[in-house]
Amino acid sequence: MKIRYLHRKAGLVLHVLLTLLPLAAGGIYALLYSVGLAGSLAPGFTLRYWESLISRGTLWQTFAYSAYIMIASVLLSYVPALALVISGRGRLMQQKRSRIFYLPLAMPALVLAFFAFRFFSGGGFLSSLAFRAGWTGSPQEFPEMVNDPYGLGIIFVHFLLAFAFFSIYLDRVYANERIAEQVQSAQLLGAGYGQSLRRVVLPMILRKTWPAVSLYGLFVFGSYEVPLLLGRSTPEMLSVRVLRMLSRFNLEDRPEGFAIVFAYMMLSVFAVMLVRKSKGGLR
Amino acid sequence: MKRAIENILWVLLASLFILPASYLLLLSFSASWQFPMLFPDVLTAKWWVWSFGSRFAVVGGMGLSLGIAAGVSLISTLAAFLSSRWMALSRHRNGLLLLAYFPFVLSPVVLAASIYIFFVRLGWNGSVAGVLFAHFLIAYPYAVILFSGYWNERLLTMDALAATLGAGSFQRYRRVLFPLSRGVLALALFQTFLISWFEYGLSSYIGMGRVPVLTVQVYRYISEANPHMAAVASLLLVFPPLLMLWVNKRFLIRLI
Repeated sequence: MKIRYLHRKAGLVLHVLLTLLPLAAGGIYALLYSVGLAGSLAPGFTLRYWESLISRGTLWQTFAYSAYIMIASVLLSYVPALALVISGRGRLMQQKRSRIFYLPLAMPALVLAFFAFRFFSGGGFLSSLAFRAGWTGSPQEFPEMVNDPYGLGIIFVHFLLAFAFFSIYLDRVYANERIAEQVQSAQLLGAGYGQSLRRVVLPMILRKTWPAVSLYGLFVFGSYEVPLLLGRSTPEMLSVRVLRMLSRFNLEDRPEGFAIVFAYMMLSVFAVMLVRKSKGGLR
Repeated sequence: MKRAIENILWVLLASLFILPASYLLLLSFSASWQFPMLFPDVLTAKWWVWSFGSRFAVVGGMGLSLGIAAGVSLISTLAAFLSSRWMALSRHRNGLLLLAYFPFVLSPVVLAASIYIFFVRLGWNGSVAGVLFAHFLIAYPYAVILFSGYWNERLLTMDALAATLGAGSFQRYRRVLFPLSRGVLALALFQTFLISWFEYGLSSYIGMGRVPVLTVQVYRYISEANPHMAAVASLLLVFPPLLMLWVNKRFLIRLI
């Protein structure tokens, strides 16, 4: 009995090591590097990297741009998916043709980003189409849709991935929570379509799905492959900026890169705690 | 009228979802496809033939990716199955589960950058073992989260019943828990396989370009301005998930 108990305890310790240790070790190393206490040429304790990062606005700009891409991608995919599921009354995925919703999920973000680059760039398919139709005279005249300041290409790829995912997920929630029956009951009690939508459908779905939506948002916030191919150097999303700063030869850049890593880790931990604390959060 | 609108919507959605794969398929068979050509003039299979030959290492990369993804999925599913069971019996279940969410939400490439120094010290950077372990660090928490809702009262009672009837720990797993959990184990195996199979940033950073998994090769061909080979490698990357979709569409529904 004692051996079994010890073996379970060892397993749980291993779980803690596998989940917490990389994060803690990476976080502590990033913090030490960012204050000049780690790295082969560490100058000793200093806050100048943090001060420079904050005074130049790099930290805020990176976080704000990543947050903008996250909010735009999630909203633009969640809202139409929700509308589609509500109009299908939770039976969307029961149809045989619904299998096509799974297709984007079979495609890695890197491949979709490559497709978007080829399709939307100045020398790409859409630009060729515009040229043939006589709307543009050269690839340069075609509006920037990739490597653009608004991240249109990045948002498109995230939309493609997230819209398919949210449609399947929301449809499942609609069916599992028996929302169709709840709406029927509300309408039997005299509620109109708009009222049942406002008072029953939306509150139920939003409450049930918001933890998953938040986690999805965090995934978009830290995405790498898509902005690497479709983004530009200013403004830049967090993961791409971090990797670029860490791989530069300029020795000032590495501590600043690690400062961003540390700030991002803290933000992620805070976001997970926030989702967990909230009603209906992570179990 | 409503039916017509619905059908138009379905056609639009199908076109949107099918477009990327069809475009890449055409690109992989085109001899040349440049501005302002709407479609390629000449179709050729040379890129596919080359990808299977020795000139390009695409098939080798695919084999390497398959090996790493299979190893990661097997180890992380097994480890997560065991630890999620212990977690279900623990008083600190919620706290332990919360720990799994931290590496799960973090950008894999940022995590890789922050722990890279430890891989260097251990001599694991630029090696297959290092990439496999790095993938395991993100696949394991995912599998734990997947199994977390699985251990219900009924299953734990059956396990306890088998123990009462004299079954040892190994026998209980082999005769009771694994057979009962075949569905969820298959789901975890396939989904952790996909996490590893799709991963680019982590493989590229920890592997230092010396571990040429398929995603790394796709990016290499893109940056070398060889879109045809990039399209071939991309389609090979999409093939196993499509096979999974054909077997069981549930395998593709990952949160992230």
